[in-house]
Amino acid sequence: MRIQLLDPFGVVRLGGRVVRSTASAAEDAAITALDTALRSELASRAVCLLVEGPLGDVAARAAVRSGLIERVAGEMLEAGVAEHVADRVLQGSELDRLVTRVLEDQATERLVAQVLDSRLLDESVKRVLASEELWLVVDEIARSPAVTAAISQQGMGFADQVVEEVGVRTRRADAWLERAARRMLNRTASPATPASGP
Amino acid sequence: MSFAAPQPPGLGEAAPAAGTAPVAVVGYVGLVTRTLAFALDAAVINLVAVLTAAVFGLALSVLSLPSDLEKALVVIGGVVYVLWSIGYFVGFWSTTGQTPGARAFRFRVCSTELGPIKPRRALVRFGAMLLAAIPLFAGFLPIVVDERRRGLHDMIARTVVVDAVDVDVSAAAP
Repeated sequence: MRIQLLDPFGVVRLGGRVVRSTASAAEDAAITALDTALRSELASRAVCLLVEGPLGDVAARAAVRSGLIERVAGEMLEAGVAEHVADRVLQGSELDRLVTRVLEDQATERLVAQVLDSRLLDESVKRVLASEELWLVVDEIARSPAVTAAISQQGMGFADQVVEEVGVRTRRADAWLERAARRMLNRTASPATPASGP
Repeated sequence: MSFAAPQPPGLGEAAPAAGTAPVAVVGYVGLVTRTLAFALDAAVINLVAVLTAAVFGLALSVLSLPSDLEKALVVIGGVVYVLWSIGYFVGFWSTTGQTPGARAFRFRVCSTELGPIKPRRALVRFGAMLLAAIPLFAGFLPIVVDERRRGLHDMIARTVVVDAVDVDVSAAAP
């Protein structure tokens, strides 16, 4: 109401619309110009000069000194960027391809062979064997119910096998002895005497 | 599973008649297996006896006993040894039908009806076993010619020795 009283012909409103549209057009023109400039060869050369020149080093040193990198890394970790990246890598097929390529590469083969031949492995094994923790773990595993049950089962299985074999042999000996006795006595074979046997 | 009473001439040939329960074939155990099992039992008996005698001997060695008492203890030890031997066989035969030796060789002693034997019959069997051993073990020779592989002691006590896998004494008990 007050504007209508002050500006009965709408000159102020018209002026405002003109200013807004002019500003919008100027913004579009500026963005277009900036885009054109960034795509230009001049911008590429400028960036190259910036990165390769002393200014890039100065900027990098300043970033390190000021803790900018740590802050950025912290922000990224807090935002869960690392988890997202890890999920993406683990779920994607790139990791499989990469692992396959690494495993099938001859360089990996050579590397593994070098590691196996090196003194590093021997030393590592010696250290592991000398460590008390290893024997604690071994002791713990050896005392576990699953392992003791497996060992006793195997022992029982072996004993059963031996008993079974001895039983078979003694029964063959029974049959052989009876056949020999019947031959001596000129008697017919007993039905209790199996046909098999030595 | 049910077991028919062993039929001497038809042993190993039992076939189920029409409409009857299947009849298990019973395997009788021969002389060699039984001798080895007996040797194992003798080893167990003597090992226990020797260990017991050693413990008592050591305990008594620190005591200065009169020589008469020592003789009496020796006699008592002999009696205990005999009782232990009898109890070993009678106990195992009349309970599980298997001594440890028989268990190792997988056979058991049972009545001719394939049932468990009572302590009295086990005692008779033990006595008959001693009798069979007296004439240079000739009492055991019938095992090699008898249809059911019975020795003199088996005939006297009316027992048979069968493969443990063939018969379950508890199931066949009357």
